[in-house]
Amino acid sequence: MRSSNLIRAAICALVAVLCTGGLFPSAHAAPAGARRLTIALPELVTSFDPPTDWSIVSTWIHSNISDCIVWRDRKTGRFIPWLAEKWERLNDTTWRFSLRKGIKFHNGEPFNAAAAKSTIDRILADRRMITHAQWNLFVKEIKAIDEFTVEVQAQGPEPAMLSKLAGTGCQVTPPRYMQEVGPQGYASKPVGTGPYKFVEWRKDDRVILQANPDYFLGRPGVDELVIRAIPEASTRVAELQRGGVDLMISVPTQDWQRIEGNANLQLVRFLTTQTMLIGMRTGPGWATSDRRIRAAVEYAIDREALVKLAGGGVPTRTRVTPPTLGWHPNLYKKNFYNQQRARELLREAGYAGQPLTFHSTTVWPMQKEVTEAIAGMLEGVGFKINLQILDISTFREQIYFPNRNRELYMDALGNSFFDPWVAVLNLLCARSQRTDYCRSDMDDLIQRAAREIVVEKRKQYYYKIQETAFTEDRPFVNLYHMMDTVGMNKKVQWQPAPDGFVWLGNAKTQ
Amino acid sequence: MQRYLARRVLQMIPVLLLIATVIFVVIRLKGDPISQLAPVDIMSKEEIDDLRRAYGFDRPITVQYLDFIVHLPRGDFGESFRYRQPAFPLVIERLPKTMQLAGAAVLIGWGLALPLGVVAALRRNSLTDLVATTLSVLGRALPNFWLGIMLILVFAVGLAWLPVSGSDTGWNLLLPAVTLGVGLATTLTRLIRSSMLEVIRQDYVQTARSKGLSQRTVVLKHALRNGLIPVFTVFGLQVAYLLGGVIIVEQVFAWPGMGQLMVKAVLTRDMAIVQAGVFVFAVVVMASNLLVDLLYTFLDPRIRYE
Repeated sequence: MRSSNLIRAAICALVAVLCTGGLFPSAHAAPAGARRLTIALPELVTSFDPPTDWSIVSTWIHSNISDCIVWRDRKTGRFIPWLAEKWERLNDTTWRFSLRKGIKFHNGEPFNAAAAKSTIDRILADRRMITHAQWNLFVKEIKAIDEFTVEVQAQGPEPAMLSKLAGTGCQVTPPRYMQEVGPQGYASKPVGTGPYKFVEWRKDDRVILQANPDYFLGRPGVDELVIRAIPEASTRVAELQRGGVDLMISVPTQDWQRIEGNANLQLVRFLTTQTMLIGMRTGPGWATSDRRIRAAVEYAIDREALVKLAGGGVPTRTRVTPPTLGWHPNLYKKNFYNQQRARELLREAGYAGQPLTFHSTTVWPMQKEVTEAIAGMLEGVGFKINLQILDISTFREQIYFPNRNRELYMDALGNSFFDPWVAVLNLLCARSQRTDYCRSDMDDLIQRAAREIVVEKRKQYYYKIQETAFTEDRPFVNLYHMMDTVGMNKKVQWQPAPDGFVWLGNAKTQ
Repeated sequence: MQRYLARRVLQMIPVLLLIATVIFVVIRLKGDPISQLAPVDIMSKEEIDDLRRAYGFDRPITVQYLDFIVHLPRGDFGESFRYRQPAFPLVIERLPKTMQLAGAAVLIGWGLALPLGVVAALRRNSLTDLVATTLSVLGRALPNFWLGIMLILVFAVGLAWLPVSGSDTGWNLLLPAVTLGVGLATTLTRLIRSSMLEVIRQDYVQTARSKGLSQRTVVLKHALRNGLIPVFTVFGLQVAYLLGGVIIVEQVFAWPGMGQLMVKAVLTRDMAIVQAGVFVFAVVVMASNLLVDLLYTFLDPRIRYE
């Protein structure tokens, strides 16, 4: 082959490769003048069938297409009517829901009691539904009383019924369509009652949704919603700066100035439901098995300094944070920093300088820096720390899931249920694989709190649980209620929810 | 030639079987996949066991292995936990995007390396040689991840010439392909340079020159063609590194290929996807090596496969 031919062939090949990349726009194109909102998330759904995909990002996307029968006002923590317009508790185990009339799924199928029932029945019947385990624990049966009334019976007294019905996998699916296309068909082409209709899914690239003009809460202020998967945070920031996306969640701390310094962009800070904490081994054979040592760990840490380092948040000694029921006012917005007391406790406990292994990772904002600061604070009062900051994969595979953590480990835990039962579950003996913490009276208290229907009494139970666990026994030292950010183009009008939940039915754009 | 081809393809089978076995073992060493399937922190042991049974992880490892090997020839790597769909089609549907990116990177890599390597060899110890050698060392030292982000900041955000990420248009391919191609070009440039230096001293090149052929003909027709044989050998091996780079570059540029799928699958212990993905990568690497071997016959007609 002559060299000139070789060059020509190479150029042709390059052009062909570029062209097959699609120099032309995709088949779907929004009409001219349509109000388009493009958001960037680290990943997309793996399935549009809500109970099969429990990641938080997927739940956000599902919720923009489908609705649950009850919903949570994420600012106040209160339940609000959604597909059910009202409800009443018939007794400790049974709740009756009156469903809204006149709501249709995007394919025209009517929403009614049969749809609500079939959605929950399907979860209860299939062990492979990821949400099966959670739902099967509390729902005994759902009955359609008439076309627009259902009764949900719990396994036992269930104060958190509404919380759970508004939780992961709660989105109602249309039974007729589900039967027609099957779960696999639904997983790739969903039909809901939500603010946006499904248009297109390009796996690992984008999901395109279109406003539902008949949405029961009114047509969204966005005509087309494009949800893009951009795994790398710095690329999401670059897209936001360039105008390729209008909104992104969790702007890395080091990029805040870039966003705030851009006249077209704004940075919105909000408190999440997550708490950064340290878990400690309490069982025999560990240096931290002595309560005084664990107390010294708490006294040694300056929470205010950590909050400053993390770029925001609220110091807290409890994981039950506002607006969740039972958050303890004496434990929230508290620092508890006292180096002198920490040194005294170490002396009293006879701490002889045995090293404490401290496992952490870098997944949360500024986690590495915060971990190093904590290690410094602990060493400042006399602890010897063997600090191990691992990448998230190694941390999960080798430490977290196999419960191979040693004296100290760092974690951030959320509570998207907004109910205290989630926040205290890891204080149960059966769930104490990472702390060895086990007290039968605590188990009993947690079980009673989980079944108590009277709100005030329930609150008192949770106060007691928090006081015992977080100020006396300390299997966990909670550090700070975490803050997160949203980077937005100023043309977008949207207020992020306290738990960062991305529901865009109320978003507006120009 | 056909017999040679058939023999090479048959030789691939035990290698692929070995690769499949290694994947099967290694992925299971990483831990219990059930922990990624559901929120184990709020599930009881019985529920976790139920889920384990539902996915067949309660069976003896030898039974699981035999089941895996028996289904392998049909491309059945099992069902993805995350997608609830057979893993192989999920991998295959992303393969064209990955191949497109890798293909563009190969073209850019060769497009840069060929002129730089040849000119550096012909003008040995000149300023051009110094620049080409320095650039190739510098390019080799740049991690894909960093280079990708820098290219985004300069060409997409700063100059606004190219899109930041995604795969909407052909222009989206340029920055990720350059990121990958630069790495390949640096290796090839140095190889082409040294190979050409060796070849241009050979008698047949001197003969070609003494026949009065033009410098262009001597270099392109006589020297380069022979000089490329060892370069192609290394290029065949570089394909594996290139595919490794694709995984990172797809993450940086949100390119929806196999790389993104694989990273997520590894992080979530989605065994079926990891098994299928690594297997497909192995097939691609082996096929590339076979193709390189066949290219030798084009470069040097004396080479014959029987």
